[in-house]
Amino acid sequence: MTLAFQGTVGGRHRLVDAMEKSTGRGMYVEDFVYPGMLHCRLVRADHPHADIDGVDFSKAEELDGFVAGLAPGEPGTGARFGVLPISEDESALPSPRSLYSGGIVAAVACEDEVTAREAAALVRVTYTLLDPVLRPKDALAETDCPLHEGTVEGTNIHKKVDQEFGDPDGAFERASSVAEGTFVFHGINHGFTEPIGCVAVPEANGRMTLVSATQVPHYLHRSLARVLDLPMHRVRIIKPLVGGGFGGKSDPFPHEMVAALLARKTGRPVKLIFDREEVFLNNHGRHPTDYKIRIAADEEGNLLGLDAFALIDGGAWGSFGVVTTYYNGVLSLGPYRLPAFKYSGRRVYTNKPASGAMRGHGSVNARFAFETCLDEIAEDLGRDPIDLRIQNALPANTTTLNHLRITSNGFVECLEKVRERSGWAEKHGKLPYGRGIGVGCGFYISGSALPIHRTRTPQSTVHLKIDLDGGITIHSMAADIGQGSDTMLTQCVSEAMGVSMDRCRVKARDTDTGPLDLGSYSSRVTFMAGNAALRAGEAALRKLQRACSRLTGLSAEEFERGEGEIYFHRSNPSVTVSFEDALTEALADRGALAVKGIYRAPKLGGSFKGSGAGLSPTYSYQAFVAEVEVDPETGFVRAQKIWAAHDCGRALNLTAVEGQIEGSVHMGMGQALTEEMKYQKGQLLNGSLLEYKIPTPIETPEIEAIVVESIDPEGPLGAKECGEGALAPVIPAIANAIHDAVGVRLREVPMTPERVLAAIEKAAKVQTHADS
Amino acid sequence: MRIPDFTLHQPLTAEEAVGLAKGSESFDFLSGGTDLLPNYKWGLGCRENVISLRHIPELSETPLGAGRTLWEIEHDSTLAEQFPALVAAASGVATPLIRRSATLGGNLFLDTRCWHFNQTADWRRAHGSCLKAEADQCRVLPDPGDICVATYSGDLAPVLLVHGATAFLAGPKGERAVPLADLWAPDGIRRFKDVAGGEFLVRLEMAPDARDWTVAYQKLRLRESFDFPEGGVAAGVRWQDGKAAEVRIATTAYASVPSLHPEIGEILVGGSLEENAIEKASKALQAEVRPMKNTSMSPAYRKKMARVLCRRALLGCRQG
Ligand SMILES: Cc1cc2nc3c(=O)[nH]c(=O)nc-3n(C[C@H](O)[C@H](O)[C@H](O)COP(=O)(O)OP(=O)(O)OC[C@H]3O[C@@H](n4cnc5c(N)ncnc54)[C@H](O)[C@@H]3O)c2cc1C
Repeated sequence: MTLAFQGTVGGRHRLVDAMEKSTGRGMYVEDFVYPGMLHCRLVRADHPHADIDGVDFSKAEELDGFVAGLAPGEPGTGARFGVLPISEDESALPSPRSLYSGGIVAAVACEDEVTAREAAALVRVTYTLLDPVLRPKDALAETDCPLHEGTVEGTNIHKKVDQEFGDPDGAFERASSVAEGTFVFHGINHGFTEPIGCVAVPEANGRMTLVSATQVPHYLHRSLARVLDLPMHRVRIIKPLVGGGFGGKSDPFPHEMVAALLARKTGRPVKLIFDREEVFLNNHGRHPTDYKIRIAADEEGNLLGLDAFALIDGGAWGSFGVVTTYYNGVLSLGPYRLPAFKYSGRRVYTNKPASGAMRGHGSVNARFAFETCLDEIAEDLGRDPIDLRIQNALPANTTTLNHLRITSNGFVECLEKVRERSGWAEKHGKLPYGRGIGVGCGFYISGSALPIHRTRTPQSTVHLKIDLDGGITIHSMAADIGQGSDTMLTQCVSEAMGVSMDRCRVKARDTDTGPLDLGSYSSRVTFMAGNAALRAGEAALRKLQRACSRLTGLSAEEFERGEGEIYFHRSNPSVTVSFEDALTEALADRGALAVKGIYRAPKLGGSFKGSGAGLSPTYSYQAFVAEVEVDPETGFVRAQKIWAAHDCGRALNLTAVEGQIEGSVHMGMGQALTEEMKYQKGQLLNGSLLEYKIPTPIETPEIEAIVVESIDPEGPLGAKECGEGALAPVIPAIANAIHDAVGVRLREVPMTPERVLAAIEKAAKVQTHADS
Repeated sequence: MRIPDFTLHQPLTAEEAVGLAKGSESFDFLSGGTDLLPNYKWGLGCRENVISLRHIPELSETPLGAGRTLWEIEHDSTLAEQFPALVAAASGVATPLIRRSATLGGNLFLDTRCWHFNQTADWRRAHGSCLKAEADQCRVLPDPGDICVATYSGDLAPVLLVHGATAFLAGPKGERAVPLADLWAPDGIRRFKDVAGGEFLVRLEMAPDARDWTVAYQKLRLRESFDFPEGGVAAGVRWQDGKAAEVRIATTAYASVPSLHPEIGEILVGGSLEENAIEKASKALQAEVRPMKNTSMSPAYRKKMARVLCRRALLGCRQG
């Protein structure tokens, strides 16, 4: 009896690199050692804004083991690069000015790390100090010396977005209920486990290899070639195992250029591994933002319009900031129907470590503001917050005001599930003072539909090589940074071919062999690389089907995948061919199979300015409920339990999806309650894991991850993103629960005990005042 | 981060340790290293010689030996029965992993901490450094004189103060006993009143009546693991016939030394910790503490919380 293939998709799978990692055999960048390798240390700026007048290596040069220094002005150090072609404003070393305290000013390469540290400390830098721009509002003003060329009208505004759809003014005139507020967000850092690092290796033939802990090998490849002034084929990027990224390794970075320039200068491999403080100084984390928002609803609770203004602190560089500026607006056009929308965003340059992309990029801060206001509208209209959300939910298969195409949509199911599981009806508004429950939702892209660079090259390509050993080599440059993309590729290929996952091995660490993939950002990998892997697997299957046909004389397309790595003929199910036999036949006279699959997003969106922002082949949806306890005497908030429903289309690997949801909840909790980058006169005060307060397991509540499967029509086997969207809802869910617990609205995160207590005391004062 | 080179000495007896200390100009004692070595990594107060006290059996022989790890104290059932607040305070220090190495001696002799001090060498250079490190200027107070206001944030000191513990030190002048209350000097750099160079803690002994005291400790910090106290209050009551015969309140993380607050204890003597008396004492403590702006939480909040910590600690001392 032949069983149809049960598949490798769904259920729970151990990640394919789990053993490599857990036995310590896997290679992270720190593990790469080359003969003659030098160690680099960076000299960092003492001032937030300064001209570099001179760099003096003479003291350092006296050290035994000093090999070379790199100073501003040397070839390549001033070459511009950046992840977005529209704001390539970074350079390896200051050119001409040093833009933040802790920024890289110069570098040394020495025989060993200890000497390099000593040497870096002996380098003398002379500065001419310039006035720093530290507050975003000051950056709006005109200035004689903007931090970068090409700012908006002589100010320090990097990007300006003004968008309007429908009739927002009319909406607010007609509204029965308006909620509004200004929300304050401090900068936060990704807090990934593995510090940033790289090794640059000059090859004998003049090529340059860079091993780097990166999420975006391709963008790094482009930028490094530019800085070294080499054609791209003379540059090779190796992405080893990466210990977490969350957006913090998704730009090409100055230190990568520095290592490569020093490797070129010395002709020797150069290694550079950051200390934790340097990770914070490199930052590119979530933007500090002031977010002013108004939401209008009619008396039935139908949303009428949104009006928002975001002042976004970009720090020293552009990074992904143009996207951030758009996302702070357009990603508020889901998961609710919204007939009118007005948004202005200003991202400014300041003399602080750059902000960039971080998990939930561009959506998180705006979402907190929006969901808090929704709760206020529900309160104002005497409506249940979950009912109100369901009433306003976007349906499946529709288009938003800004032409986002909505296909699969499990949003209402998410809301209904968390309502039921959390016991919402018995709790909301009914728990004793100090305890509360709140809801928060989310909506996120599943891969940016537009590639960053204008190109007709597919966004993901996967090659398979299948040879006599019966193994399937999956070549890709999708960047596994711990999220499990190698496992996902393996599942897609083995599913398509009807073989066990063990046959597959993923080679996705080397641009010399892996076909182009844009990398791990914008929650694109499962959707795009997964589809490419599936198409590649299907192409291989077709070859095997034809081999089956040659062996049996029956029609090729009727051969189907059967359980136990066989192919059976649909019309004659007793006719079966094993995978091995089919493969042997397929290889005969032809040699190893080489097939590929590609993914390119469909053409989407309108034709107005900025219409590309937020376009994605599909979107994920979330609804979370948080139950909290607030200590009204101290302001401490303890999240007791989070019910987290996420529509991921289809869970290819339940364990991995739940892991992403739980990780997002934990990370969102950090921004909600404890994490904040603190500065004094532009100098980061808390660049350590002791003083930058990531929640510990004790603070982490019980998390009930609820997987909702809307089966996306275009997703690989129905899947869509699950790594980012699940972060945003945590923050408003907790804030709304705090309101339910003690009756105060927090509009600044993190909601530290101090801030919560201040809000409680203020409310009490208002109350006493009203009573007297 | 790399720990700078130093010579590690591993004496096997107290006399040997004293001798080594006498013979070297620049040294530090090392126990678990969970405070000293992170500071070394940041280039703070590094010395050429490090004298480890870990191999001196005497330091671990008594229940309150300086060399006992916090993990041992946390899991000592006799101590748990006799001095539950001490065990609770020990189990709240840092993280489980750190408590495996961290010792009682190191905890009491913990260096003071400050935003402007506990930073990397690069950071301090950019900032201009501070009195306790390379500079002659305090960054917390514009004009503190030459007194450093770095914060003492050991968790065990306040509990031990309330229990009336005595420190037994070994040193060039032989062993001597110092009441814990007389050990510290209010200066974040000097830290101790008259502990001579080369003196170290061998053990503590509780006061003879220590077990007659009901003690509770309350700690303020953002995260319930990992974080140093941002404020800590220990309260102790010696009950007699249903009345508080003696009351002691001690604080940590509110100044550069842990301290007893005798006048505040007085407020409660003779009563039975009635709500209004507790409130009065707690408010008095709030008024008395003067936290500096040199830790993660604001001084205003830490000060306000002194009242809450005090009240909760006192509630924990109630009878029945
Ligand atoms: C992340 C982190 C969190 C922490 N959180 C806390 C906390 O919550 N509460 C808290 O109290 N501490 C905390 N600590 C500090 C430290 O871990 C503990 O105080 C610990 O008990 C110190 O003991 P040790 O044996 O490791 O000390 P060491 O590092 O060995 O020594 C500390 C100091 O005491 C001196 N010393 C050591 N032994 C003796 C002795 N017998 N006689 C005289 N001097 C001696 C040393 O010379 C040094 O100056 C934390 C540390 C870290 C790294």
